[in-house]
Amino acid sequence: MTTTTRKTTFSRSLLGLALSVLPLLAAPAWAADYPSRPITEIVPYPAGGSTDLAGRAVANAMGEVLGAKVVVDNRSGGGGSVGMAALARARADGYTIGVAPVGTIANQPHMHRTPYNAESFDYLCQFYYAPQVLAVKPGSEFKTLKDVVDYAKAHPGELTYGTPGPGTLPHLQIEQFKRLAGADITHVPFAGDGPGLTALMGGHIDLYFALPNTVTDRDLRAVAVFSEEPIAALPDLKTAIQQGYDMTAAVAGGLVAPKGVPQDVRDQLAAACERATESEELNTVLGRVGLDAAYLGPRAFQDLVLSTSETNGELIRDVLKGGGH
Amino acid sequence: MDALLSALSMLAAPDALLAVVAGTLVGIIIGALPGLGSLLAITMALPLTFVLGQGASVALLLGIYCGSVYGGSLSAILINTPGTPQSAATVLDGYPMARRGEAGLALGWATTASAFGGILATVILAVASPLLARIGLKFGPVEYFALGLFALTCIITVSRDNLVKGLMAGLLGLFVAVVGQDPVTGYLRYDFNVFDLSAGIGLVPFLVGLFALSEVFWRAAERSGGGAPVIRSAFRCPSLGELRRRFSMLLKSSLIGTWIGTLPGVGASSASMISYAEAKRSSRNRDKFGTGEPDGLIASEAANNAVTSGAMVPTLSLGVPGDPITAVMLGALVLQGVTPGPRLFLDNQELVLFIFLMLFVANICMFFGGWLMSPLFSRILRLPEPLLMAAVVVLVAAGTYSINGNPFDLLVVLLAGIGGFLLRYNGFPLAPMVIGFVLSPMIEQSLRQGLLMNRGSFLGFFASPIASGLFLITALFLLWPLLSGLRRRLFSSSTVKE
Repeated sequence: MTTTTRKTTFSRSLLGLALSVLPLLAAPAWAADYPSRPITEIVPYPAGGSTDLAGRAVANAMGEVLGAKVVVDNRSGGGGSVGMAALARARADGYTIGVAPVGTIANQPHMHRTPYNAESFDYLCQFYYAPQVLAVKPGSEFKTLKDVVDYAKAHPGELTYGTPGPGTLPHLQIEQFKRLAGADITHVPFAGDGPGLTALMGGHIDLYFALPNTVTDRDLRAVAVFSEEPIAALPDLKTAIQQGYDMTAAVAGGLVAPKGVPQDVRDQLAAACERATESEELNTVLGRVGLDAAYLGPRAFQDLVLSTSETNGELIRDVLKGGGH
Repeated sequence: MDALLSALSMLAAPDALLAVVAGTLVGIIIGALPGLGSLLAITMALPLTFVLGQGASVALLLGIYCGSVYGGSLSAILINTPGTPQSAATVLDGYPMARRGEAGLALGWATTASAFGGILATVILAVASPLLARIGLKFGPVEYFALGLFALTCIITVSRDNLVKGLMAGLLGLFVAVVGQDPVTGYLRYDFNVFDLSAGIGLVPFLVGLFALSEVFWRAAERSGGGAPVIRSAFRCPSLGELRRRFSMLLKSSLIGTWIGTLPGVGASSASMISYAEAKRSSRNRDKFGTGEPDGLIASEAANNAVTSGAMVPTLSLGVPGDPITAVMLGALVLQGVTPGPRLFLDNQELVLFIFLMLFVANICMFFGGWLMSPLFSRILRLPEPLLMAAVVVLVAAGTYSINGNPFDLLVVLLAGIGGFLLRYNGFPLAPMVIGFVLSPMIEQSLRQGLLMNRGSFLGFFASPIASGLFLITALFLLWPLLSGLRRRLFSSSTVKE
């Protein structure tokens, strides 16, 4: 294992030189012998985070199904857009794939001039999903979603909610909820979930959209889960829909490839992803970081991303570019 | 008691001991190489933890973490280039000491201070972790802003020769960090329609270019002239008498490091700067800071290694990582099936104890590893200078590129190197620029968060007693020259009367 890691680091250092020559040397991919060499899986976040852990687990599972090594390559920066850009620019031969959290692929192109948008990829599958729960600060008096909304209506702008950053999925989801409920809650963005959750635990902010396991592991309390049905991890927690607010919100992500991968290779990757999602190891790892293994086919995942991109594109124009909070 | 016994038996396992020794040594080497830092070292080890057992994985990661934070001081002292961002403040007094021919003593102090800071923080962690975590939670955006402002005062400290130029460099550093996405609105700032700029300027390429590459340019330019001083002296531990004289500095810097480590998101780079600022404020030798004063070296090194233990507090007891490095460690723990959080201390006591004990062992390994390896590094410096400098260029380029695999980072290194050279040529100190750059995001984000939370009113910041206290210390520090001048005048006039 050491040698492979060292090799990866070393080969990366040479990559700059190699990149310029690569297009001339690489032979076209023949689906018949695909995969004949290791596949690179770009993870657009740093090692150790939940996206990375999910990405490494799916890489292992995919590798077993395909019978080839799938090597994780962390390319972090710019809220995930640096990695997605590298993926969009990669050769569409099926030897470079990437983990795409829905927020990264759907929101970032609306936030800044990324060299990609939601249309720049071939969608392979969704493999993880988790509903959002609205967590409240310790000692909060809010018991239900209605308590929160009523208070916010009576005291506009007084309540605060934290997010891992402007234009992230939870930010836009709460903005969407504010519109639905007609409540004014102030957005306080943090640099990632770590500082944000600490601020919630310290009582510096009032609300936070978090994964169910965040709430159960840290003894926090939530007022609603934004899924269709109540969830097993928090059986007593009512859904937003049950509480009269017709909205769901979740984090999800899957595998994508640069656009233009040959159809048969694409089918092979999509089929491998479906089988990988059933793997026990992947399910265990996802469970530990608070996500569920949930498969969606290429078409359905693409539809999910494109529709999210459309809704969030409008929200970003209104909320961020309109100057409000 | 059972928990302690099983923790000890985990500790005594040969694979765990081997892992901690190997991790520490590898960590020191990677930390000492400019451009390769703790994060890279830990990330490289992450796949190994999939195959190692729980005990060995934790031991390996802790060893690497402690070793790499310490390792950065070696190149800071010997070649005027912090091996890791955490050692940026070590350069200030470490390199002048080496130039004076006291490289061995500087290494000795750095090693002693690092080990002392790490061990003291571990003891505190073992005794008071849950309590510290609760205190850490009291720090919200308002308090972070006050802390960042205090840390910024060390710009004054490090620009002793020319305050105006130092402040200008500090402002430039604050400004460079502004490039990229606005942390509150998400707008892009100074990206000039270049996508790579929209992700901001990375700390490692910026720092490595500014210090390491500009040093290479500097020495190349100097070659026709006098040439660099020959640094040669063996590793020398400070004597007991010296140790006793500077004990209070060791103690205070370690405490500052431990405490800042417990605050999520501040990190060892800022901690060593805050500790340096406080040392400059309170040390008896404050006038000699920046000229090779061991107190400055101690302040930086004791604090940054104390952070390694301190950062485990929120990681373990809240499940929130203290810095990017503990974030990777948290990931590794989660993969091992451990759920960090308030209940870890109740449900998995033996693991918590094991981590504390292992941190202790890692710090001892680090001390002896440093002792063994710093002569080796001193010897490297006796290489012919062109060879050494060429090697630094290769390392810097390879190291920076290996972090994100982004060619743009190499461009940042080059430009920062040229910029650093020009600044030095015109008599601007580089350290204030790094201080500004490191603190800028924390200060900006916490200020704006605080304003959002207080509905645009800055008065709300004074409602927090912690923040008010920090503001007061900052104000006293800034006004100190005025106040002491005033006191002297009053004092002298009263003596005249007598």
